[in-house]
Amino acid sequence: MLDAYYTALAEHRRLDALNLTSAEDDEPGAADGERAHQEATIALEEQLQRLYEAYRERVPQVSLSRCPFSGEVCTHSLDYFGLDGLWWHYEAAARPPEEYLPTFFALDGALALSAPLETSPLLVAPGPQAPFVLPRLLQYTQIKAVLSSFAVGYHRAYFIVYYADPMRYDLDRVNEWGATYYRYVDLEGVLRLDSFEDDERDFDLAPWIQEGKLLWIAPDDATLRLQSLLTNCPYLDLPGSHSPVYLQNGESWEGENFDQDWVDANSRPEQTWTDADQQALQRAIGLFDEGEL
Amino acid sequence: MIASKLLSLPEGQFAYALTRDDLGPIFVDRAPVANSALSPFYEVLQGYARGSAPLSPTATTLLADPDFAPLLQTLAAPQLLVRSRLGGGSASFEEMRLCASPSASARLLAVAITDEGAYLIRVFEDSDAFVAWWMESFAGRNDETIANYVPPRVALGAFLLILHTVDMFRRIAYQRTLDFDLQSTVSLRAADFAALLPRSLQSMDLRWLLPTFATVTPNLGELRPNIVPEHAQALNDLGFVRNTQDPQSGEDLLLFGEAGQAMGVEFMRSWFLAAGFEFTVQGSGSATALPRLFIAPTALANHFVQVETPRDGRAMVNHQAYTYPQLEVKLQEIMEQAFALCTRAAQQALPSQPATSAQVQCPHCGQIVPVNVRFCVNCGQRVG
Repeated sequence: MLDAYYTALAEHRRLDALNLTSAEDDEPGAADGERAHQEATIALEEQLQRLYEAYRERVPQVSLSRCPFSGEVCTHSLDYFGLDGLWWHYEAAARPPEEYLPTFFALDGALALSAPLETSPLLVAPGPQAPFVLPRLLQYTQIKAVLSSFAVGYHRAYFIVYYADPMRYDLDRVNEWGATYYRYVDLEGVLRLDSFEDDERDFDLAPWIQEGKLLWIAPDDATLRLQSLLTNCPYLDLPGSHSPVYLQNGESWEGENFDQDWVDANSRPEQTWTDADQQALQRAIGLFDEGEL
Repeated sequence: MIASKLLSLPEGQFAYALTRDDLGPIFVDRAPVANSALSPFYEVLQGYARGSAPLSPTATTLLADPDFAPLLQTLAAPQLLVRSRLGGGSASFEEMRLCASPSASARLLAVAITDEGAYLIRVFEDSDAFVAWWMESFAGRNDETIANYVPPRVALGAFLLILHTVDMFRRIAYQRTLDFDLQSTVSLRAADFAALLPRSLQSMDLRWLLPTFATVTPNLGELRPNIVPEHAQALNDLGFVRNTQDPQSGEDLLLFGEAGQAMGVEFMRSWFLAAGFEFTVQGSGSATALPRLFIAPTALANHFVQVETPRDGRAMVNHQAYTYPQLEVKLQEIMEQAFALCTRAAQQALPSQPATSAQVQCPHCGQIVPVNVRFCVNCGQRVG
């Protein structure tokens, strides 16, 4: 499914680039070409949307944390096969509706990268490479965090889930891990969407554990047993960058904000309107008509 | 202590006092409804033969009091009975019973026996007023809290062992003090740990945490707590003890871990009382829907324990270390849930009725609920 998506996406980007470069083309026959181009673009967009939705429906629900107030298991969607899934698409993360625990407040995370990196053309923002907490949230007595860790593809993922009891409806939460938005259920029980990004992270976890604000679950512990001791905590002083990491096309870089110029330069290579492009356009239409996309 | 705290009344309010001899003539001979098993006076009234005692002048005055008369029905046959016990640390054992009929009134009536044997009745306008009084009287005033060394949930049997471990730490620390022993490693023989457990449980000695928990938490025995080997493993997993062997004798020893030492020191130095609560809802068949509560305030935290309805026959414990505000909110929530259960049970007993001006419809499920409740009795979502 992802292969089909990325094939369609590549074609769509190609068509998009062709449209940009041919916008001033007023040669005879250009109108027909433009119409065909538009039809192909629309068809590809519809196909992309269908694949996106199909993927979203298939994202697994994973038990990844446990509420420190109720002891209930927290499940959340997660593409743990690797970072090339659309769940990780930073700018349009494909995430299904969640069954939130009543105490669920926010999902944040970090990810220690291991080679080989995924070659997805989509921008991925899995956060810093070492686990951390957000002091802005943990300053409130109602909020606690739980740190757990499982593998995502070749990488080591750190899930930092914030819980509140009683719930705080008056606070900005934090964008879901790897996404540009967060979802929450408001006081009236309505699911809402908002956005907030923290840039103050604390990687010194020991004081938070000692204060009882951060609990942890041993890496890969499928029973999700909550632990509150500093003794034997495996998450202290882990190596790895404290800056957010971004990935695209098999390359990674660090920074508080991703570099749009770099993204533009790498995701949309220069194109010219050539015979080969015309053929690619027709081939894309043909693929769609034949139902191969 | 409970009665004296109940008598600490705001200006303009007062409490009622009845003698034991007044109960029969009032609640058997003259109450508007038959007494139910949830009446706070049920045990006393069981031994009273109708018409066998005269009405005292005090009782006659009370029955003529227009403020007292409306309380009779709730006292005789409440929809909700809360048994609340106090004791442990430096507090002696006492019991208070709370009763309410939420479908008729938001009021909560607290009944306690004074040192002189009188039945003291105090009226709280609603459950929040009761919780505010309880917090003021008994809770630890903690603005900050500590790590929760018993994160949820643990089996009841494991929790009993944890409390025993805290007591064993205290016991050894006291013994070391008496012995002028300043050695750094605190340990005990595993055999002693096991041998002292049944003695502790049977002692009902409220100076110790485990007997206090077993005594103050009402009807804990109904949950049939048992201890199995996997519960002992929880002591290791949670950092209360770790096993070792005496290098000379080869005996199995228990060393106190991070959690055992922290909670041991905390309870040795600053534990002052404990309280238990049990909720019983008339006729709902859901008396076990609400957990039994055990609260042990210390200088560092309000230890809040919910002994939850058995799952697959195994009672589970949710322990939290709360600040004062957190505990107050949690108690309010649980009281509201209890009231909601009562209202639901009362509604189920009646034919369906349209919403009145004093009722609203739950925006989540459509259930008609009283206007003054915050949680829906049907779906549990917040209403107001």
